[in-house]
Amino acid sequence: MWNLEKTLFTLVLALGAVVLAIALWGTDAHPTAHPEFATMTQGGSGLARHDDRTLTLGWLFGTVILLTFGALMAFGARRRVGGRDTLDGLGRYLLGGIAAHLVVWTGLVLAYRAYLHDPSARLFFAFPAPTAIMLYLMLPVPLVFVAFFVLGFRRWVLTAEEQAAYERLLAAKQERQDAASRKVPGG
Amino acid sequence: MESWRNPLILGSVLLYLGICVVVGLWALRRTHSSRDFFMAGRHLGFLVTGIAIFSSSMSGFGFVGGPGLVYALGISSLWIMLPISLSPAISDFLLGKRLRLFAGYFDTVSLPDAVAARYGSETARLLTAVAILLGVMGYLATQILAMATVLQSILQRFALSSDISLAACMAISCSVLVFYCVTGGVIASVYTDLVQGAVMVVAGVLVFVTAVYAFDGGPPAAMALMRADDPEAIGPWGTLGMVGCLSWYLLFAVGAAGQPHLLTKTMMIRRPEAYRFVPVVNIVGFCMTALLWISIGLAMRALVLSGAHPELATPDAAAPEFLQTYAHPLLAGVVFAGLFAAIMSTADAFLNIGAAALVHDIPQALRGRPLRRELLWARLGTVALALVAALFALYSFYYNDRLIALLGAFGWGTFAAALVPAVAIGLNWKRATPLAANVAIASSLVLNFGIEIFDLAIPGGVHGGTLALIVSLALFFGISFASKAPRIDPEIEALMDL
Repeated sequence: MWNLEKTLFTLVLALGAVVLAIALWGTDAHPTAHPEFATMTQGGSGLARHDDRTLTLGWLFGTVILLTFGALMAFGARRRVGGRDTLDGLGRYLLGGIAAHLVVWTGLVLAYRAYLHDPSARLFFAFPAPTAIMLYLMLPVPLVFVAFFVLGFRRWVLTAEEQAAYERLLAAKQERQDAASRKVPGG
Repeated sequence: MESWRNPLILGSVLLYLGICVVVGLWALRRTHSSRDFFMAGRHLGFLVTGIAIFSSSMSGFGFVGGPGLVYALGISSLWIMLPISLSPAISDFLLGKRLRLFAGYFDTVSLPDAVAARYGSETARLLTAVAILLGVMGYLATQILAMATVLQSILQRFALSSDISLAACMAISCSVLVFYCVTGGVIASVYTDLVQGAVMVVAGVLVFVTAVYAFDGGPPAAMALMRADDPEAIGPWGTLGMVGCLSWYLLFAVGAAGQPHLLTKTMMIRRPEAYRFVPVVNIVGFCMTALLWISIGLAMRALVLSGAHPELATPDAAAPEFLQTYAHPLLAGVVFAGLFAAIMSTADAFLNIGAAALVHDIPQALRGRPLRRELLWARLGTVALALVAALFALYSFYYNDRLIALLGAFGWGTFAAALVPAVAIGLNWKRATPLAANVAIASSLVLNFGIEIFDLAIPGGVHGGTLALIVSLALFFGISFASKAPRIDPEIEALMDL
């Protein structure tokens, strides 16, 4: 299996590099005051604040973020067997889930790019297409990871053998404490 | 029915506060030691744990600040809510098992206890406790101020209490909060969370239904109007922009694994294997409650834009004005009780971990041993903490509102940057060193505080907390890799191998 520590470190450095690139080359997209209502803000021209370069850097930022999420879950789920780290089959599922998430993410960015050029396109379930993708796909897709956790708990999170080993550790500790208290007069 | 609106709201809130007092008295009989006070005796089932986690994470911010953000920024604030389908998986794969195993083995009563055990470092314990205490002060002062403001707005509608002061409202609401936190500690906290969570879920669903019908023509007409006003506002990034939204997504998805008020609850579950179902309860509860967040914000933005409702005084007025104007009086009563529930469920969680940091962790780190009569000190510490936070909130409200904002910066972002490396990564990685953990925690405090003090805006719209998280993670990995592999206690090694 890959060295997950180094993979995570590389992804963290990549996040830093993308943030730096955005600061250097991206356009500033802060909200602007609404001309009529002081308590609201506006985004203004989407084409101006999300030009192709900013959109590409943003896509890259999102992609590295999603890869980091996958690496963090794998990092927490790995276990040491025979001197090596293993994910016992979970790696394939995590990769599949992250791949699906990346596809949805890329679809969202592409749909937003189209929306920039035609904001009046029809609404899907009350929202413009990219917002609908975000709410109806980007939100539920990661639930597969929760499903892996819940359904695969006894295989990938806490196996019966691990629980038995933990109980043995607890019993051994209790025994040591009892022995120590017996040695103390009056203990 | 309309003439009963105010009495119904007050009645619902009083009923809710009464239930909190009763739960506090009930929990008093079950709190015999500091372990009961801080860890509920490690006797919680998955349902109580799950509800306690979601109701603590959905604070007054979710019920007031959340709709206000949607109203002001459009879709942007949904990127704070979006990680709910992902963050439990990240946190739980990293810590769901590990933290409970550590807590059970070392009989820890706080998160800094687990950090000290993992690294064998009292400095790490002290830094973690200090980070928690600073964050608690900011969060607590904000929640106490919110509680007092909401109570004042309710009581001012009655002739008898029309000129009631904020300080008096703070005293009333804090008394209830402190009463059940002092008598029943975290046992009272988690069981009031159960009531609070139920009220919040009912409120979320009913408000959503009301908001859908609040605008003539329903959601499609509201969206069309908002799109005509500003297409970006209902685009996927709202008015904040793509990079700002993504930086929230990262911060809130990963940062959940560093929130002490949530992590501490994972240590309280009776059987480690029961943790399996906690994320399901957490996600279902949060999503139902979050319906209020989105629906009120979007409805109020459309209503104001269309001229059907006058402009709000502040974005945070979105939820109270919506409830006063558009919700059925009975529903308004339930939601105002839900609002109190949301604020209190977060405040009690912070009071509990703050008291633990104050009377357990800091003395342990400085003296090398716990205080005698720790339960008594825990109760006194809870009162002292609430009192200081209330005074601080009042001072900040009348004299210097920047103070709360400053300590507010020690909120989610600081906890994320400080504790994700030291706890979420460190408990899963034997190569992690105490020095790396201490530097990561210290860097998060310095960076978040610095960004807030100097009011720094990061180019491109990246959130300051996200930058601090990336920096602290990079430092944590970099220092650990550059250092000699640490010698780990065999007991720790055995636990980390599980």
